[in-house]
Amino acid sequence: MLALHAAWSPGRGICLWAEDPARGERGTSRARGARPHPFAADHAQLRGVAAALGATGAEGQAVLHLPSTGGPDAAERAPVASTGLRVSDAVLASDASNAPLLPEEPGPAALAPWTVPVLELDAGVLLRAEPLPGEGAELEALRALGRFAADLVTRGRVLPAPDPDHPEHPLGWRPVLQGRDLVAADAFAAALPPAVRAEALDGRPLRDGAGPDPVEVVSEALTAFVDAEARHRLADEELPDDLLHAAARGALDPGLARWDVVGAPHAGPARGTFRLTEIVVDHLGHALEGEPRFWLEFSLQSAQDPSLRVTAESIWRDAGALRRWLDDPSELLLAELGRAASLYPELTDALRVPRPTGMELDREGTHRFLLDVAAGLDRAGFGVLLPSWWSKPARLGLTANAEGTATPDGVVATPGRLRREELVEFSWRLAVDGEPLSDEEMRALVHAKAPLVHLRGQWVAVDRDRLRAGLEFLDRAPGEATVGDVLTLNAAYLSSPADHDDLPPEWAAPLPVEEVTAGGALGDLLSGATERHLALLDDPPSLEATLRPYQRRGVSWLAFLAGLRVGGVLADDMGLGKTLQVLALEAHERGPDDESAPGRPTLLVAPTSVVGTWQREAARFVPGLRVAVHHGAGRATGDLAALLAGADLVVTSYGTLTRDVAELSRHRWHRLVLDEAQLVKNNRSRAARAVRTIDAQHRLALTGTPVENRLAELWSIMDAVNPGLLGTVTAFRDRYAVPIERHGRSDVAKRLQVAVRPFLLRRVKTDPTVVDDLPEKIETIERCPLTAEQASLYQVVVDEMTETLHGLETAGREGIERRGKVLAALTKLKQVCDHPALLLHDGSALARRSGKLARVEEIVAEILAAGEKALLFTQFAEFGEMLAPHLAARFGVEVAWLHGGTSRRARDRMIEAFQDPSGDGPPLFLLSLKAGGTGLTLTAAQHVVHLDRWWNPAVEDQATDRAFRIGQKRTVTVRKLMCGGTVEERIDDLIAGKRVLAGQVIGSGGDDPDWLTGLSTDELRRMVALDDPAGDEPDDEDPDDGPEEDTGAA
Amino acid sequence: MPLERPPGRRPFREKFPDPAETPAEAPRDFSEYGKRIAVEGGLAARSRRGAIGESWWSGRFLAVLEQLGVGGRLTRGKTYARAGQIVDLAIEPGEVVATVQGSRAEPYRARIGLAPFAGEAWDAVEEAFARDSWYAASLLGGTVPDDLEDVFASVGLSLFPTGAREMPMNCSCPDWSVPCKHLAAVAYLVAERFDDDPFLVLRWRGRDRATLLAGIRSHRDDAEPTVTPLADVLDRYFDAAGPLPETASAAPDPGRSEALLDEMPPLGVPVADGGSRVDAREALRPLYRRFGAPNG
Repeated sequence: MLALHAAWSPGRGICLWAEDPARGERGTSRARGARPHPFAADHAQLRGVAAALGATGAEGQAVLHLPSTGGPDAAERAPVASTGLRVSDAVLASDASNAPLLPEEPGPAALAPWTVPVLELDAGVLLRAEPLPGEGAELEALRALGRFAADLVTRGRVLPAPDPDHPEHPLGWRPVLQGRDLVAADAFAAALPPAVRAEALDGRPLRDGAGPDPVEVVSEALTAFVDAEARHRLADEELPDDLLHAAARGALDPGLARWDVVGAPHAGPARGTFRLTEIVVDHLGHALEGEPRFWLEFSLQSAQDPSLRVTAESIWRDAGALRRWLDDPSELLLAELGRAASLYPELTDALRVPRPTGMELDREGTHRFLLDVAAGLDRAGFGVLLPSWWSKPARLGLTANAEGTATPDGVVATPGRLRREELVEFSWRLAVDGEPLSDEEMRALVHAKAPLVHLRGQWVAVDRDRLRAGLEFLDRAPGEATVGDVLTLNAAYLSSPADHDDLPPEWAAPLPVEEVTAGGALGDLLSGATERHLALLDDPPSLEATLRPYQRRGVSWLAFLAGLRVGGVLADDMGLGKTLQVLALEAHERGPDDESAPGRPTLLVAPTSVVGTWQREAARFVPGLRVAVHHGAGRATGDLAALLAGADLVVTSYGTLTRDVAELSRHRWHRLVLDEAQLVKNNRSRAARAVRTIDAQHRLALTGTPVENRLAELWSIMDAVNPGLLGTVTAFRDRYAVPIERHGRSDVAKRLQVAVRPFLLRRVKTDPTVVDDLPEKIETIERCPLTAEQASLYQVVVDEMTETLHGLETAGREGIERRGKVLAALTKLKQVCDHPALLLHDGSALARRSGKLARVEEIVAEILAAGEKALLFTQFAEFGEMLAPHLAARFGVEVAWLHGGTSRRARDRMIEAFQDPSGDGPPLFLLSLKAGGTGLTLTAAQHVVHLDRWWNPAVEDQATDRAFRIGQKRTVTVRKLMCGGTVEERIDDLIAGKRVLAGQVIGSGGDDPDWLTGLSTDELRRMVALDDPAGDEPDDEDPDDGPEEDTGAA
Repeated sequence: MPLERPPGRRPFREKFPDPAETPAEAPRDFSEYGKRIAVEGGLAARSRRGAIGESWWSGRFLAVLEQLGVGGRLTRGKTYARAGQIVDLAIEPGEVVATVQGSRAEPYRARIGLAPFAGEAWDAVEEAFARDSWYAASLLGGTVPDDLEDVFASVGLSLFPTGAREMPMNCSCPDWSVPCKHLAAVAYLVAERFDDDPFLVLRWRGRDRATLLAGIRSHRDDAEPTVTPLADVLDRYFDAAGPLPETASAAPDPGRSEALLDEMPPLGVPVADGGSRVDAREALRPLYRRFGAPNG
């Protein structure tokens, strides 16, 4: 096989020649000058090659300078075979008869001219013919150049170049090299195999052994390729005659001269640019060992196209090509370097050479460049390209790790096993970017000559002083700690340890504490994984409900915190059963056989509106739990010891707590539970102050709002359950609230999350771990209090009714008339439960007169805070009429109101707006039970609130199904509100608790409670009588009444 | 670039008697004899107060003047320079020539000479510059490096004049003092020019910027040829000298292929059958479209 070569001949173009391994005879001619090459292929062979390429070419000779052996005597010289030939030689070696007489391997000693037969190939041949076996690097480079030329043509980066010498084809083409194309052409020149420019021009010996300039060779070859390719693409086009005539006559030349100016090579203005890289191999390609070194590379970068950067090395190598791009590129480079030297004097030494290309920097120098110089150069307008590890500088910090806790790794923690006073081994480490360093890495850091260290595959710049401070701290830091201290430290880290009085002073770390880790149960607690890893408690036997799996995890988590005497915040989404979890926790701790059962009651503080619900739920789920309500006008006064002695759970309201704080704080409690704890967000309010005075072994807060996003609330709640843990409110604001809320610092938000996660459990309905456990519909019945006004009105209606019925009885007028009176009275009672104004029809103000309305407002606030939507049903159109504007004004949202008088078109518009997937529609949809209870699809709502009870639950369910139907993808939370101790509760008991009876009495299924009107007057009286005629005392104090503090929270 | 201004465009006012015509006792300071005539568009010093000349190299030049101890004239020269009395100024090899408007109608001709260095000396300097890029980099970056004088010293020359004797000064004004205030004004303006363009220091000594840089280039190429000699690469003669650049093949895009054509100015092409012309761009447009759609 022939080894195929090509040289570029000015004027002739590509000259194909070949070495033939089968030729061995040496030339005998002693002619002066170039002797014939002894093993070059002859013309016949070259014609064969051309035919394989699908081409022909003019035959000729060329004198090439080729590496040769031998001494000064020309006769002794012989050309050295190319690598390509040696490879094919090895292939042929087995064929003895063809054994080549190639020179042995003495290696080339000098260049000598040799005459070789050549075939002149048209440039277009290489553009289109596939490569042949045996083609050498010269052909490969020329083909690549040809592809570049074709690309230029495709992009139209060519201009006409009239060729009057060929009148039949007078329109030639030339490349336009601008921007990156110019740089590419320059790179081709740098890559050109020397043999391409081997032709000895005019047969003259090589001056200084230099040979033709590769830049010129590339320029000529590129022009030839472009011309060939452009003409080829236009082969089928009809060229405009006028243009051809003008080109042939040279008439275009003056105009094209102006075009040439536009098409002149340029890349716009450029600036000096410095690029810092690590030197990983030496100039021989060997990996560097020992002290690391860096290379600061000089270059020019186009101002218009920053990705276009030319290194100083290529500027010096080929100022010629770039001179067309920039005026005097080498002078521009020097000017930029000279300008930079005034900012960076060390540069001076690197310039003291003929062609500065860059400078080597040691570790110290690199550090100084990065730290002190780079920014200044950048400001002065220079380009500075730094390694990515520098643009994201490494942080030096500390991590702490606790080991040796009671529960080793891998063993599941059991609630109650981990004790707050337990001692754990505690160790500190330096950390870079939060990653703790190994001993070896720390040693490397200590012994590094410059504060630039290679760690874990990346360079790290470290501040010397901070490093020293960190190391000194490691020496003196204590080696053990209690579990409680570790928890405090974890919460305190990053808030300045100095703010924490309860933190041991020897723990005042000089560097930010990046992470506190621990093994086992403590580790789980710190990482927020406790809920997932905890051994689950069995449902307490006294609990009359089956916990859902996530609730069981929640109860176990609460018990675990209780064992540690660490306060917790249960922030599950509304509807997930926070009440049930707390009741289950109490049931667990107060089991009949448990010797460790607390001897003291738990104090539960809730808004007035849910005090009754707590009482009712406790009675329903844990009937054995002794619940005392300390609330309302009829509550016990004076010493509460007797009350406490007989109670497991004392339920009170924030208002009562504030008023009775002196007495309540006199006793020691097993636990303090704050329900709807977000309501006590103002830490200076009387309620918040009262909460702090309560002496309890354990503290819990319940909230359904996403407190982690409301920083003022988060601090207040955390401080209420773990006093002092997050430092002072001022420190918290400076460290977390301002950076997160005002500056949007996600890293700070992350740290805060890490600090609070041991104490916060929040599951949302969409959590994968929760969603599978959730039913499609969660129904709760909420028991609202009556205000004093409601209670007295209620009593009046009851008395009136009794009197009227007795009168009728006496008069013997029963039947239809009695029935009418009973129904009217029942309606009035239900109206009073909703709101006094509904009975009085006086158009009076609504606020603070109805326990039910107060609860509705709380529920609505929670729903709106979660960005969700609700349906609210009432059987009283008049109530809806009052409520719609009230809620709209109270919450500043649109409230759709659908009733019997709503036109069909208005109804359709409301529904469409409410269902609008963009979420812009009204978040609240108030409906009268009659008008909106059937037929509609309102699946945009996740919440349904029944403001008043209907006699027949089937009617309520039908209304509920407006939201709970096909198209509803989320869990629907249904709340039925009723007033405790009233006819509403009696009916509810009948419906829910006494199914059999209910089935009998309600069996008719009608809307009218026939069974009620059939009761005797005494039965009826018992049915409607008010349990607590005093009613609730007006909740004259909002839990959050103190002066508003500007905490920056929304 | 020397500033040249045709003399005819200057508005002159004849207002004061020529003080030179009055016989006078020496020494006299002619400044008291007349008010200078304001020059519209004259070359004024940038400096408004205090010293003129911010760089060490212009300071070195001015120091020679200040050695002469003609304080009053220097002060008045400074005022002249600031007032814009200099009509034109050129720093040429071997001399600074300027036209200064005094109190006479006819402006004075002022000249500060300095012996230019011989060609061989400059050749040696250029060679030194080619070996050590620091000098050219500094000068191109706008400063005279503080070790530049060492280069000249190494060939036995002093870049800055060592004394006033090396700087023959003359002025067409009647003041016999050297320097007169006109020469002093010129010197201050020259100092500011030096601040702005350190190459002018060298130009005065006989080498302009372009010649100097070309000389450095040629010496640099002599020192280290840019083209790798074929004789140096015998062992990799048939191999690529470096990685071939990646030239991504452009996807055919007819719109894009006309972009360069669109940048071109109109080019009229005579039509064969008459005197009208067509625009070559429109004639070529179908061809460029064809380039952009090689397969279409």
